[in-house]
Amino acid sequence: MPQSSPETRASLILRLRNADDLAAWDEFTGLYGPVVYRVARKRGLQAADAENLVQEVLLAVAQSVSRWIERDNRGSFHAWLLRIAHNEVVDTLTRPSTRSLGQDGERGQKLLDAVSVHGDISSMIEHECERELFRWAADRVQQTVAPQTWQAFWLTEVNGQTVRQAAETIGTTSGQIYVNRSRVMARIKELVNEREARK
Amino acid sequence: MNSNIMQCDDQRLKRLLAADDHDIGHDPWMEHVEHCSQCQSRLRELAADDDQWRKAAAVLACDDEAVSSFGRGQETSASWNEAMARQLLQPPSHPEMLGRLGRYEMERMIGSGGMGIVFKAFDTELNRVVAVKVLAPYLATRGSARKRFAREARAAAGVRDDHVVPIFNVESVHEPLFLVMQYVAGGSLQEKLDRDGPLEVAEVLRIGLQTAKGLAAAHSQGLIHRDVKPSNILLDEGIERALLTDFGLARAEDDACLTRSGFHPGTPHYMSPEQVRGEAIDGRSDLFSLGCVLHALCTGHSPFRADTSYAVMRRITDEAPRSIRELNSNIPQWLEAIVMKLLSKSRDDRFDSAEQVAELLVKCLSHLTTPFTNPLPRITLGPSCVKRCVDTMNDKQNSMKRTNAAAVIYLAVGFAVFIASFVVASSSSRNITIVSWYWDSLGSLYGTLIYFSGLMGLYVACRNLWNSNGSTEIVTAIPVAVLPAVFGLIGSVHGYISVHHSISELGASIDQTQMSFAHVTVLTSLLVGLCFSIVPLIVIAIAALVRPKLPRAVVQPIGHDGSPTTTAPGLASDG
Repeated sequence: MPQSSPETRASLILRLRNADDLAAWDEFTGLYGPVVYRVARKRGLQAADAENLVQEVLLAVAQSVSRWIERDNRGSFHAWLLRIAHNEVVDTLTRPSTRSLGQDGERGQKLLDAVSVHGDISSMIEHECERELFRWAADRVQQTVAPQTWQAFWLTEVNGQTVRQAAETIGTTSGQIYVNRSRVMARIKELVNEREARK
Repeated sequence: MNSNIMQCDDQRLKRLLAADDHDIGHDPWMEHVEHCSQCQSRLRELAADDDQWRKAAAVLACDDEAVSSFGRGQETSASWNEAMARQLLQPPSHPEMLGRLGRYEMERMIGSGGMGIVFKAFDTELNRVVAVKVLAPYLATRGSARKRFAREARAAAGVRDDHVVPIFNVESVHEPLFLVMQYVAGGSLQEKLDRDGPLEVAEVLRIGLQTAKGLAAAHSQGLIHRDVKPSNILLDEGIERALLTDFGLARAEDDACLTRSGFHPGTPHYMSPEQVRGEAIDGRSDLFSLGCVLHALCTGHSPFRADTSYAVMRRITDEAPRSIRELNSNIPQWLEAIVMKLLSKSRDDRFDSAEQVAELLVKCLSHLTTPFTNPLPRITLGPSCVKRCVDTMNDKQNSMKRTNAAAVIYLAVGFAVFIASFVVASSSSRNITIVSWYWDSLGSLYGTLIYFSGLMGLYVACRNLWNSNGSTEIVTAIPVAVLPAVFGLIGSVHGYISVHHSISELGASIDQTQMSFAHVTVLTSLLVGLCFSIVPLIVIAIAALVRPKLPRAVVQPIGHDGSPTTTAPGLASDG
């Protein structure tokens, strides 16, 4: 799902002649919007500010798309988007005006930390990207498999129930639970690998 | 047991992992897995490595509410039904009603859109019918969307104008968020358009004028509508009044529809080019949308139509809209000129303000009802509009030129014959022969034919007069109509005189049949010639007298520097 404003997307539609590139943009915003949001939240931004930041970043990336279009050796649009967005987020979050002042007077400490902030954000983004990828894949799988199948995975892996308990909850055999939870995981892995391979 | 006999087999396990939901139930291997702990752990290994299992579980486990609601699992607002709507409301206090929100009893759903649902409702405290718009739940969960909804609704509530739907109340504290506005009974302009097709010129002007007034009131408060379209223009039942609604809410929607499926900010059909390109917009963006609405009212369809949103947006930014008069010839050219000016791609070429548009349309409307006392106002056109209008004018002029050319050729041939007959007649006057007599008859016949070319010229002259496009054509048309008539008259008179003369000279040398033939020919041509040469002159004289009272656009083109380059009264002279 795209997270960019419809107008941002519209302006891209007009510049990107290739439908695949547009799909890449949608995929990118679907993945990256939540990532930026979470990173911003973790840096101490308020929810509304984090949402604004997402828009700012996506807009900035969208505006620099023409730089990519003009390049002779363009390579993958998606990879480029990720790289640009990464820089944009790091820049924005380390800019004094957007840096959080802290919620309980920890400003001094934050300023001291500023030197290491850069690296922190970078690894944070990467971490969040990976998580978002899993989240996205899990979401997709949940939508495509039967609720019972999903439950087998959810109850044992996320809720921490034993196989026997889960079998009782769902009303099925433990064999089913073993098979189904692995089937869910196999599909998640498949989707994640597929996406990673494209980067 | 059966399962103990079966050998553990990776291939079979892999097949199990790849199987579909519906054909996995009866797999005999299920039983084996149930009891074979080796296969149980092997399945786990085959599915993914430990790290991936851990990550997937971790991601899902800490999927905290606030964060996960961002951009995922949102309801799409494709269509609302009453059952869904009911869930937003408290149970009704009356069984006939849908539900209740505070002091408002919802009677029925009257509309739904991206932002939420609109109900016809009854205010139990003030005893009046109102319309209640409830913000869609997927928007209501987002703080910024809520704030914006409330802020914009308050701003819109501050706009007081006869042509803006008044907002009575904004409830931004309670759940769900809703606003209360006047109930307008007549339905939307879109419904009318779907039902009746293109509107009458007077009605187009009236609705356009009232919408422009509503926009002017909003713009004066610094509020840009951003979503002017027929479905946001409501018509009061009975009295002729159009009211703008959904003020500024478009902005709140943008804010949140970031998270909604695909790109559907309502319809892009009425967006301005700067909106499509995502540039900063001002009140003139609304003017472009107003132009789209007027175009739709004149033709029945929005000007930029295509199969996909993408194609629509390309049209909006790149292509000139289709000519209104090609689609509906009842629309006068000056109205087309106004709409085309509103639809200028560059906002600098449009009108300066909604107020200006309203003023102009008021004058047009009074001109339309009483053309004799109210002349049409001047319309200042940008370069692109002028080019367009001149193009259509050129087409018209070309067809006129063709007609004129035919008339001139006709005239020239007739004149040559006339001269020839004159020369022959005079050279042989002392010795009048049957040859000169035939020449004279031919000359007067040709004179008759030339009257028809005079008629043709007359037709051209009248058509141009009634087409109301300025004064230059009449100058070319009158000679074309009058000259053949005059030459024809002279030709036939001369023919008559000379033939009469010949007859008396020749006397008995021609027989009776030839004699009567000559008389009939010459008399007929003379009569017809007299009629046709006098009638056109009278008609042209009348037309010339009535002409200044006919609707006629005075168009003043602007040069690229924005200053008027000419103040010529007609377009044709600027082509």
